[in-house]
Amino acid sequence: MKTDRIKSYLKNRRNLTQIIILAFCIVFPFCNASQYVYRIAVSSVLYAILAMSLNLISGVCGQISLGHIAYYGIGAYTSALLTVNFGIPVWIGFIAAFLMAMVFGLFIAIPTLKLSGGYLSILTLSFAEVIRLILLNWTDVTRGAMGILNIPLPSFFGFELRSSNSYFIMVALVAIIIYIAMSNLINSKFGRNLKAIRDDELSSEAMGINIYRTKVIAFFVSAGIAGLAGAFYAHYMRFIDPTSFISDESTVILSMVVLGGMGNMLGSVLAAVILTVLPEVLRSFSDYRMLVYGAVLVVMMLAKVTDWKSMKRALSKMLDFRLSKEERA
Amino acid sequence: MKILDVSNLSISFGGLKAVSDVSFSVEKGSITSLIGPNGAGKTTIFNMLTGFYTPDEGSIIFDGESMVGKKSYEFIEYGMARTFQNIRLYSQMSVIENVLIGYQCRMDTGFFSCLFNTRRKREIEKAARAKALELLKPIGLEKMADERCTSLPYGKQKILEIARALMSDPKLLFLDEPAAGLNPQESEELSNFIRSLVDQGFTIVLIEHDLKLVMNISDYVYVVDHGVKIAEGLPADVQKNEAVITAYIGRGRTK
Repeated sequence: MKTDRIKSYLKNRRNLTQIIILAFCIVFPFCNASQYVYRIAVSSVLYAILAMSLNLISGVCGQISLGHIAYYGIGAYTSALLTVNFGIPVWIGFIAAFLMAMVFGLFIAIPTLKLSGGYLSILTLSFAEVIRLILLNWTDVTRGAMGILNIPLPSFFGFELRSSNSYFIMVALVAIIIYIAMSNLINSKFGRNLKAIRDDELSSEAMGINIYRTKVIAFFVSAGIAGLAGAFYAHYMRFIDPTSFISDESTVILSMVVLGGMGNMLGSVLAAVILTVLPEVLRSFSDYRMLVYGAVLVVMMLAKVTDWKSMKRALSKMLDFRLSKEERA
Repeated sequence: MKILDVSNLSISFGGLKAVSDVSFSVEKGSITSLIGPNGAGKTTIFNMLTGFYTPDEGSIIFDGESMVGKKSYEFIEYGMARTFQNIRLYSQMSVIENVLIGYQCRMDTGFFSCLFNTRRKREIEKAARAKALELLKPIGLEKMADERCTSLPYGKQKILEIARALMSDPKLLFLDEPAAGLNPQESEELSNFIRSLVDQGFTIVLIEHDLKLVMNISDYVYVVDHGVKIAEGLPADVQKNEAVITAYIGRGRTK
């Protein structure tokens, strides 16, 4: 009876993938791989958190934001400045980063979310640029291009997270919590409201959804989570400067969301891992690395690699196309 | 008993007076139809009644409550639900999810109970799902509940849109051209469905071009043309009305 239930649970590919990822997260920190591998793992997880947060507004709710990196930057700087200048504990810095990014999220959401489609994208893009320039030029506070040095490591119960594998445990734990929270949101009234807004705003309004309020809440949450990821980044790298928060990064995060499938959280996680690990794997191509990366990205987008069903469909379509061409000849 | 009482409704867009001085009322438990030639202002009236436009003048009293100036997303909570002229289903969502959207306004789950997936939220969700399936059963969509709604045939999509509105337990249901684009058989199926709704105690306001359907199922008919009400009455009386015939097919040449 019980084994049957487990069996049927594992038959579902999504559940199976979740279990595999969870198992990996538990075993991996004790694998004694090199610090280089753990560094990539940590940054994969950070990107996964970012991609999940962007997925909430861009994937689930259909509001394409091209400036998501701004909240990441705000979170990173908030926590770094607070801990370096005032010596407050790092975990309070994390919370502060979360709240500060939320405030900025709200600040940008309230005037812009009445806009839609392209206008919103352009506005968020310019917002991110404004934030970057402020970080770069407000030297009294942010030290501009010199960046912030000696950001303290987080420590819990007297145990400092000095090694990359211990840091991995922390970020993976947070990522799992965020994943669960996001999945809960998507499979509930709130998530259905977001999807309804994505599909048809007019009839959503007729169905009693306060569109503006729902969008603002989604933006708020999404920005906060991105800010948290930023704080993790700052305390991991121990050095930040404005070049880490250029708008290219927003594009990378958005491509993770698109590759993972709009609205698919698990897909976002997988895509984030793939797109972070891939450039490292391609290092052997040296000068042609980014060229190959681009080509692989195109192929992956066409084959829809993060979702087994759509991948099968896409591949058979490609195959069909080739066959029909041969038949014609 | 009157459930909806509309008096002296007017709206203009720039210099164009789209609707002027239209008054009508809807009896509880009836089917009231609003007909008129293309561009007569029917949908404009509908949009005012459901809060999408704010009328320049006039009052809308629904179940003892003045609705003018209320936000369009509040109407469904008061018990007014509507469908659209061209299907406006949520194309990327499943059949059951579409229907559940209609119930959102009655679901008392806040953001945090969604976030933490509380026991209460799960119970509410379960009850909503059961109710949705219950609603899908008579229209034969129960087995298709998890299919994408766009995979349904056109006629079924129209009925699904009505089911979505019904999910909110409306006191008054507005149908904007439900029979548009349906073949005769689907149209017949639809009119049976609408009639079954009235038997269940729903009150319906209908905008429709298919006059056969209107004359068959309506209890009372209002006719508008050029934004003005030109006739009202029982379907049989309206059919004979001189002004209505003129509006639809023009006047015979005077000798």
